[in-house]
Amino acid sequence: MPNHHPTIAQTYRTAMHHRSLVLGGLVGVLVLSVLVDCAVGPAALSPTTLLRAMFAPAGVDEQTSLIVWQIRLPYALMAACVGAALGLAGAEMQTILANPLASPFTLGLSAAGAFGASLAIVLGWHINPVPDMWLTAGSAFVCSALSVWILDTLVRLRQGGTGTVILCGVALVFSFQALVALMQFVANEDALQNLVFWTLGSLTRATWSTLGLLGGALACIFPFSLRAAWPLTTLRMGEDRAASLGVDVPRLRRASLLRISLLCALAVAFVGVIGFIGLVAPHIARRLVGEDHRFYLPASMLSGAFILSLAALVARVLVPGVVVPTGIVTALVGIPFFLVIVLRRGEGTP
Amino acid sequence: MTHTRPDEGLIVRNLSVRYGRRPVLADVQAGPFPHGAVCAVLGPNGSGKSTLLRAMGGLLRATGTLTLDGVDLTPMPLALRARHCLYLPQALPEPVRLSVLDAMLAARHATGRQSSASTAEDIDAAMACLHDVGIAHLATRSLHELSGGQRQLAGLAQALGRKPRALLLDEPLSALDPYYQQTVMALLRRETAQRNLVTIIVLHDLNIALNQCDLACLLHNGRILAYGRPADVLTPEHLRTVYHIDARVDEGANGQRFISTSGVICGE
Repeated sequence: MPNHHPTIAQTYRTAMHHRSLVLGGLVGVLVLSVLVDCAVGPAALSPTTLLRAMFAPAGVDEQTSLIVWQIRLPYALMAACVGAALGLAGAEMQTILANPLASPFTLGLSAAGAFGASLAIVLGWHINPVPDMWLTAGSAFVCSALSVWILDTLVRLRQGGTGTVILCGVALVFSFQALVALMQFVANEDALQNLVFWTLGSLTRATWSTLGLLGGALACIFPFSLRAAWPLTTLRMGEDRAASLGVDVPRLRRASLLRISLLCALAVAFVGVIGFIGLVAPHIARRLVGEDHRFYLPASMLSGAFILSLAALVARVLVPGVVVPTGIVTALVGIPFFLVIVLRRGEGTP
Repeated sequence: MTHTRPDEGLIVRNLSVRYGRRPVLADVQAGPFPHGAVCAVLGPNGSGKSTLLRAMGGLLRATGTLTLDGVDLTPMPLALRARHCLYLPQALPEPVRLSVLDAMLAARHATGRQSSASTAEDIDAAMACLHDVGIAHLATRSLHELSGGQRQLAGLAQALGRKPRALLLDEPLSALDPYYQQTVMALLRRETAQRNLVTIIVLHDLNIALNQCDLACLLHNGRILAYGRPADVLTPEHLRTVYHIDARVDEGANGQRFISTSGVICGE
């Protein structure tokens, strides 16, 4: 009846409002965890000192300012940015591959990126005007884009369902890990040191320039993701259904894969392999705001940023005086979560 | 009756589809499928029914033309083509965490937002459609909480919400129990008449085709063997040729016809 409409429209609007609030809440906890991340450490800073160092640097001594601006902030913001990139990449991946177990880590993108970076590090590539760091990042990007393309091709050739995607991904993970091991085997002492540090995933090398590049890439890519929110939502109801409603599925998928490989490759290139964020964040987002991609994509991005920010904090306070590689922390927290997802899959959709 | 133009309705000309090197449909001529009528596409498994519909919907690479009221749809990009002639796949909408209303809006905006309409108007239009389909009360429920029949209705509402002029449905009844089969058929007949749609559905149930469709089209080995009133198409001879079954068509007391089969024909 037409007279039902206002109440239902009202309920719908309330639900939308609720989802917006959830997004706002996520932003809030993210900001908080970044601040805590900045304050905690060998030289503990009080909240007032920290805020003063950030917003009125003239009022604090030089050493505090240095700690905050050169060490703590890049580290904390890098954690948030990498988490956001992985969260967004994971969310898009789970949608276009129609698989709740898809993530940059489980399907081998991270391992491929690691291989690409190890090539550049171990073989000591130099192209004169280009800094080595960018070369490493570029090589990581090429390899991870290649792995996405291989994965997509394999899945489409076999018209595969859920199982095929995961099996192809696992094959990719092991192949690239073996290749990384091979590079480690032939590496000299110096390169090995560099490489090990890097395959474990660590945020301690964050600088303002890498942060700027990753943040900039995220800011450029995210609007395109949001623009694809409606077609991605229809894709969740089945590939055929999306196509029947006029969505150009192959094009949507190609654009999405390009975004995913850019995000993963940049994340991997600067901080190494950090697992499970891209897997876990989309699941949390789905629980929080459902699968309307206008909310799901930002929610997954923010959840990813928040989790990695927390993990980065844990990585620093776990062993006093030592920063444990963040990749180790996320893997340890992520594995139980991964098992929960696998075991829950029997009952309805995850 | 109004004067009808000769190219009125949906017409298929010289449609061919091949999977790899194997031709599935060769030079099919079908129609005209008129507005306001429900037409059943019948044929045994593998006769090319789904392929025909998918090709008409633009989801398969095919040669030939498809015209709707004289306008050739084949050169159109998929997004535009789907506005005229919408194909509905056999698979039900996946049970995801998406409310029925969200699903309606997503379908509406899937190929770019209609700039003029506000969110309130979008919601009103979606609710009107859900009301037509009879699931307005489920609007805020999530797809993953609904039964198969309810999801099929939600999928139909999505399609109707796009206001196509022709609707192609691939076995819309196959996953449904008798209650929802009848609900969906009644709905299709009503909406087809009200919205003056060209409605084509792939069916396996011969009795539903015989009693509840206006037209029937019988496919045999990738060709159309017969097209016309269901009673003229579903004759014992045709059923023998196409399905290899022994069948009788009887008329019941209430004017309904029913097909009873008494076994398969061996040695063909």
